[in-house]
Amino acid sequence: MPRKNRWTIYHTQREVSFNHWFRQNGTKEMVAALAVLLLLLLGNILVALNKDALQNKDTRNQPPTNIFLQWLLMKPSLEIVEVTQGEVSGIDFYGTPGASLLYPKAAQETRPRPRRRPSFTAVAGKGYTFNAVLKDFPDVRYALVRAPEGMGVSPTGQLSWTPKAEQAGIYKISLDVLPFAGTGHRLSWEVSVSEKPHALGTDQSGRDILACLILGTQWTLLPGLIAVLISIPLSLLFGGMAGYYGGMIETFLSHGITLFSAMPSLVLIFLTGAIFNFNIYAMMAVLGVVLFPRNALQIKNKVLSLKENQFIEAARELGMSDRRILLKDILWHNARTPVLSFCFQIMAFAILIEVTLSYLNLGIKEPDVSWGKMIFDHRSMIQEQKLWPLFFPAVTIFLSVAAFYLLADGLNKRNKIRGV
Amino acid sequence: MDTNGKTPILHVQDLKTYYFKEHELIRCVDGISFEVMPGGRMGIAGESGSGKTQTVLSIMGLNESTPGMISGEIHINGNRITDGLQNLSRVEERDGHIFVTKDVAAWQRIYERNIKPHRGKTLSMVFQEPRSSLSPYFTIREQLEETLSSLLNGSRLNGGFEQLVMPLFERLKFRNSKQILSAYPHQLSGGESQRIMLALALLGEPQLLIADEPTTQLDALTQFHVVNLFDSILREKQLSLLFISHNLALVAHLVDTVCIMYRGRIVEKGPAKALITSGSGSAHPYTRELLNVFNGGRGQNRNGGYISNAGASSKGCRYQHRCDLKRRLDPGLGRRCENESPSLDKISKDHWVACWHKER
Amino acid sequence: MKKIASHIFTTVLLFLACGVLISLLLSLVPDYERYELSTWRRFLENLGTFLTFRYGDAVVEQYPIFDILCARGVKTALLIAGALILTLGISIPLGIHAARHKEHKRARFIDGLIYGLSSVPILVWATLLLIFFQRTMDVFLHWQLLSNYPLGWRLMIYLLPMICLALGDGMLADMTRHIRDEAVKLLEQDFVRSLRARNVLVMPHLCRGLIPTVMAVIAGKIAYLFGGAIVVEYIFGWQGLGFALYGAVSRPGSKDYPLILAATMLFVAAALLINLLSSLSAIWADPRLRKD
Repeated sequence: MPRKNRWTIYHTQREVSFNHWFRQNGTKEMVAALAVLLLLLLGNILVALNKDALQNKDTRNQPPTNIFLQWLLMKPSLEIVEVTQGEVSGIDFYGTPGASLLYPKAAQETRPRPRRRPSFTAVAGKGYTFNAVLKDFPDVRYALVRAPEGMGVSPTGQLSWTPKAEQAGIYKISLDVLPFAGTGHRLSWEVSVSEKPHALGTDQSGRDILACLILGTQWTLLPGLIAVLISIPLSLLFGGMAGYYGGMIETFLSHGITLFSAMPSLVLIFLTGAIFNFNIYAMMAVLGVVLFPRNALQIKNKVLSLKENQFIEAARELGMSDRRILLKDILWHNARTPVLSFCFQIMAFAILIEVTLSYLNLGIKEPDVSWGKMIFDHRSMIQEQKLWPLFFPAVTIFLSVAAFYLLADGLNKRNKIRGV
Repeated sequence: MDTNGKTPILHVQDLKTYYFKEHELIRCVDGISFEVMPGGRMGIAGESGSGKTQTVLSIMGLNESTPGMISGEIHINGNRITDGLQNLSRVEERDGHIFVTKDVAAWQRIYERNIKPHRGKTLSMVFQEPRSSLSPYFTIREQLEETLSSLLNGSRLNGGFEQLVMPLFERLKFRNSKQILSAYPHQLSGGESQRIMLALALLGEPQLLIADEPTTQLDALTQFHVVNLFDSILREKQLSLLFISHNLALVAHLVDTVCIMYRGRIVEKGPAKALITSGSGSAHPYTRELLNVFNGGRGQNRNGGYISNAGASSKGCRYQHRCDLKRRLDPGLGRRCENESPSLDKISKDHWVACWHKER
Repeated sequence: MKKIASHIFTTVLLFLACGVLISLLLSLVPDYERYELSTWRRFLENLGTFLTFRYGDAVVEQYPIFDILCARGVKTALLIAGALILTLGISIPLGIHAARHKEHKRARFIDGLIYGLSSVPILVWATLLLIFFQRTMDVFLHWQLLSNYPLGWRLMIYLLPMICLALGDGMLADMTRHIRDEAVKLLEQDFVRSLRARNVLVMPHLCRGLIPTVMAVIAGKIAYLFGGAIVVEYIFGWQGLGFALYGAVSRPGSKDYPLILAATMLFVAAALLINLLSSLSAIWADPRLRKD
């Protein structure tokens, strides 16, 4: 039973090329992460430039324009309602007994394009034609039951409409399918009209979701920076001194480290939030304090391992003061590499904390927008099956957190640091 | 293979083990052949870095596979261990670069399968650093029991711990056996740990004992005791020995035949007493250099003790850069050393040398 | 022996220090309904409550705090224990496998996958999982409706928050990475070579050597786990201690100080206990540390 061979090739050829640089440890991750970070930075700049324009409001709860996104993120509001002697029982889009699935075709402007499901969005000022087509029953007649103003329907089921700017909102369209005498079948679906096209839809107060995502980027970089600015000097100070001096200071400091790592971080942040009335900047500062023990421990280990080296002896022989040795030789030259990856891990954690706090309604408040707050506002939308205001912030949160962690990991792999 | 009609316990032919480090090729073992007869003792000597340890690790299947052993024939008691490994690796040279292609996973799997019945039972090994070669997490007694139970699973004779292990223990002359049994490896001294390693190796009643520099880490007095212990046990149980060391005197004391290795190749092979003890028996300049140092000579070599891997495919004799003989020869004769790599030639019964100018 | 005693002593000391710190923080919270008491008075009051363990009744619910702690603490403990078991169950085999076959592409791919999955914050995981369940099963899972569902569903409801907690915020990835790094370091040691030369199983030795690392990672992550438990309890409506804490902290006006103090100190005590356990287990697992 010959198995397929999996060959590995070892060779002496050095590749001095883009390929070689790219394949070096950790580069792929760093490049991907940097791409995402560039986007975040771009978002921040956009926010800084025209914050007000991003907060315009339009129709509420409009789904995204793309058909695929609509299929993914909402329960399609296309129903066939069977009217039997006054009693209305709803038959869902999936699994209609008797008639087969309906495929009303919607077309935009003059070029008809067959689609499997109707697009539920329309932009004021553009012309739309909708064709209702029953799959196995091509020759049926339709009669309009309910439609917004200005919509005309032909008996073969073609509707045409050019919504006016004042007509922004959600409308329900109903058509009666005539030949099924006795028990009439009624087709109805919703169309949502907005003044401007919204690629990702709008949220429940009418803001464009893309604009909300961009507005949310301002809370990704800045709070993390604050946490980093507090955490890194603290950990360098404590870790460096604990590693270098040893003795009483070291025991004292490592107990302090255990103290901070035993207290649940979120609880501390809650308490501090309660003190400062949940100001996000204060909470980020506390986050910096809460996170410094772990990094201080790493730095202490690194300093301890470096202390054994001969060059410390040599420096002391030359008469350099303790502080100079610590600062220059140890910290700057040698302990510098893990510190950068700490920075990024702290920033990732800062985004997580901000999201968590906003989700618990303790973070960013109106009228500011952040990704966590979007999830908080729309958490009841799960029941109503309108998932787009939840999905996109979730994706962006995941991407930015993953980007920071990947950056930190890529740096570690590059410098071959283990076990962070 | 079958000289005198007896099957050698271990027969190695043309073993090659290559490693790549940062796109540099290191030919750790480059075509080694030797055999160990039942009851015979073979020694491998050379300085550090000559590939002695890698040879035995490749035989036992314990080295890293990057790429590790790539070719060679190994027979244990006539069984072909390298069976099924023929087409799994190849070496090519293109544009001055060397490419080694090997199916690492398949090789590992097949070799493990082939050598597993012999490891611990026919061949067993004693390592260089005794204290770190014992697992620090369990007591000595537990480790002995562990080895015993894994051996008994191969349906050997039944018996309790006392019957099988204690006689061996007594034989190894420990000062207080009870205390040692319940101690942890980090609490033992070097000599005691080495004797424990020996006990573990002998539990499976092997036919060949491989000792990889077992006394290098020990002080002189302990060395003496341990070596004598080795000798007496080997004699008593009629075991064969493959002894690796860089200490030529020790090698001469213990073994019958010695292979001198330099940079992955055997440069001289012959009877130990003749080669080492009587200084005129050695024919290769490297052996003479080693003996010179050991006998207290000043070592007049200019580039002494420096092994370089400069150039993966350098032509000619590997020893030429340090060769005292070549320095003293005329350039015309020396050119042969530069261009052709010498092969092992027999110069008398049981004596092989790899040098173009061995008669000088 | 001396080491163990010193560890225990340190733990007790740290517990007291935490109590002082939390009391201080609590007394700093601006409270407009009790403005007549100065910060110092409130600090002393909190400290007194902490040291004498006489917590009394919670302000909101009017139950004795001890009962609340017991009833809800058990639920939170269940959540955290389940999450830990899940995490360990996945990451230990994965880490050891990755260490053994670190050359293979498959190991690196799995590593990247775990890493990517685990970067997702708990919140997002919870949301996505809830969405998934909603769409495919058309069921809305909530704790209150528990008794209406058959046993399979109930198990799933218990499992879901544990999965969220185990997977979110890099818990699984960190654990796997630590185990893999430590296993690689262990497998490079000399004794592994001599074990294999005798055909002895390496696994028991490897596991013994990994115990200190695993315990250390758990001890390091336990504080984070408590925080995550708060979020998960909020999302899934799990009536645990974290949820009570959140309610106590976020209510407007005068906050429920005894409850906050009690719940926080319980968390701190649990975290310190696990830290102690981890150092003790490190001493037990590796005899080289038992120098006395």
